[in-house]
Amino acid sequence: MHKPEPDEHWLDPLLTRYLGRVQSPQGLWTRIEAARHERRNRSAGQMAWTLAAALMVVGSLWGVYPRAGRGVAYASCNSGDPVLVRAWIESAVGFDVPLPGALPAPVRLSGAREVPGANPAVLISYRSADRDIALLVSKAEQSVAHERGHRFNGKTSWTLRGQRYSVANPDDFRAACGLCHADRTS
Amino acid sequence: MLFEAHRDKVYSIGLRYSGDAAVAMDIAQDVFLKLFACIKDFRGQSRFESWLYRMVANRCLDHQRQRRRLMPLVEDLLDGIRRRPESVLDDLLRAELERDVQNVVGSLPPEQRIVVVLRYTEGLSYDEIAEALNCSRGTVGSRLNRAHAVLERRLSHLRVERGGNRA
Repeated sequence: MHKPEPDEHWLDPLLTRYLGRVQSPQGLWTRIEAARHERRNRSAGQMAWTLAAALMVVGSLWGVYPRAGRGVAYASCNSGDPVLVRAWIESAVGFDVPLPGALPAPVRLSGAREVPGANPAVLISYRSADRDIALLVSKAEQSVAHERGHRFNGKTSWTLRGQRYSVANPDDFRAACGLCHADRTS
Repeated sequence: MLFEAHRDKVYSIGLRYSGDAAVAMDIAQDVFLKLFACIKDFRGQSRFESWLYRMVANRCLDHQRQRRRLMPLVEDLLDGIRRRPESVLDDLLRAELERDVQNVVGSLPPEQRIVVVLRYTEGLSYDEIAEALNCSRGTVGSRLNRAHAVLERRLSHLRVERGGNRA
């Protein structure tokens, strides 16, 4: 039985003719240059971010460990005397935090300590029965003098006389309120 | 200059492989960007052209075909208008045949298609194709045979009769 052989004389020339090389568009080089430029900018940007992140890490380590290594703790005042603690706060962070002279039982003042950071801040500690209550006071943004309190994620915050107060006390909100809604020493 | 020496080659392989001018531009751009970045890694263990062909072939095989036909169609139309009227009909006829061939080639599996493109666009030998694709000469031969079988069947309407004038 005759088996037809493939006719190689028509397919090869056809493919050679219609699949031949073409001229590339004139805009190809411009496009490649633009892509190279973009890629360079992107990698420069990434490098800048990496460098910034590295500097932040190094800066943090430099800022924290030398102090810890020397055994120097952040400035603190361990006292239950509101007058003493108030004076210490003013000298440590530069702003006045009026503290109530009497607190609703069983809450009592236990001290304060400076909080490191760009903005001066102080953490005032209280003890309520077997729980700790922490009141963080910092300078508020200039545009915000007063702001009603709100609760978020177990934290209560409000702004008063240009100072921002935050209480971390998820268990005893009533006791936290008593920190400010009581007789003041001044 | 490296780019000037190889621009048409790289673009043509991209175009014949993808059948799409926009995709061919993407492929050419990627290949040259990679080439400029990696030229320092070329050790001269193989011919530069084989190295380049391998880069283009890999890029073609990796490239997800994108359907961006609007701009090429507009460019084709503008090209047709710019040319002299008497050449337009010939060009249209040729373009139609070329599209037929390109469509059938485009339907081949990627491994067969790249062999066909390197063979007919670049005129590479079996050995050169094998080097570019990092496979054996026998593999190139079998892929080309299978591709030929499909192309013969699907392009038979373009076959030249003895004494005829097609193809």
